[in-house]
Amino acid sequence: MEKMIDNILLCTFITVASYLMGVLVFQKFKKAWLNPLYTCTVFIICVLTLFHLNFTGYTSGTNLFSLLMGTATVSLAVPLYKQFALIKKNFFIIVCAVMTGTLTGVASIVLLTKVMHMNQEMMISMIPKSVTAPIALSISQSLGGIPSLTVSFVFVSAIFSLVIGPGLLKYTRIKSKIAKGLALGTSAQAIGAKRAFDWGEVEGAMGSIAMITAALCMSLIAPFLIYFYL
Amino acid sequence: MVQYFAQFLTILVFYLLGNGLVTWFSLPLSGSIVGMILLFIALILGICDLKWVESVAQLHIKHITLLFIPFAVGIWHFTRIFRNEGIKLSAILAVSSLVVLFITAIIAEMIETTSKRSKRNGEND
Repeated sequence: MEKMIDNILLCTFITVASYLMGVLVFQKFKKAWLNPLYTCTVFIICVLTLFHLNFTGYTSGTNLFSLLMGTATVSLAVPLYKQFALIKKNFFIIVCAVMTGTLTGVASIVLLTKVMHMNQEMMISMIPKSVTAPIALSISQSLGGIPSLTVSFVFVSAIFSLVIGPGLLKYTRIKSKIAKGLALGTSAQAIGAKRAFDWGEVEGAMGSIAMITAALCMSLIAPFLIYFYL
Repeated sequence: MVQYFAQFLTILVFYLLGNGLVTWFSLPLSGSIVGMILLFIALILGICDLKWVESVAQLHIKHITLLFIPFAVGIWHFTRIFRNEGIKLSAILAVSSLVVLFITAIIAEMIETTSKRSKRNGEND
């Protein structure tokens, strides 16, 4: 028992300390690829390998973070509430667009993984890939996917959408501010919403609304997927 | 400091309520999402004041990256998968992300233009 508590304290300390360092490095150099998530992950993997610590011990030592992930998800109600007026005004567009987007996302993953002969575990881990990470994690867990893989899929697809998305929207001549914001928020979540704020206030707000709406849609769809594929 | 602690406890209460409801009614949702919906409703109805949760909620969202680190480190277990199927995986993710992006945008734009047009027609009458 004492050993377990030591382990939790140590792992939490390593993670928080490396995060703080990562944030400092990021603020100093301001390069997108120095995102604390990448630097910290690499740093911690190096520390664990260097001192021959085992990874399973580290994972079980970070249970505190799962609790905080839960409260972080609950916290998303606050930005949603602040945009309430905008949501009420555009409720129909938001729900239709984000719901269709999320559904086609699931359908395309199922189709593509079948075509490329991926196994079911992979498919399930990919299904919540266009949902904000804390919620994607819990969906992946409840469907029987691999949460670690899901997190990486979420970030990889967010980066794809961020790099190619704005160009695609321009090329397809989508001009509506609402459409642009919703599209980036649905496919690239928080970083998409941040990018949408560069276009303007409405786009950004729509981005963050879309991010949360997509998460809600996905968690409503997810339970039904079990009946179809499992 | 006390204020931050109290705010965190308020959020925690909603999280636990969400978890409780999920187990009680065996809902197929995660407790955190139900907690979020409950907090949203409580904010709208004025049961919970924005001031009771705002600072901690913003702190949480600002530093959400910290919470992903343990999961990102967990990827180490799966390097083999990425080495073998990395290209396939990236291709699937890229195509699917762009499909999501495009479909969402086109639907939103379609609804917006039709509703604008019908409004304009209404004014002409």
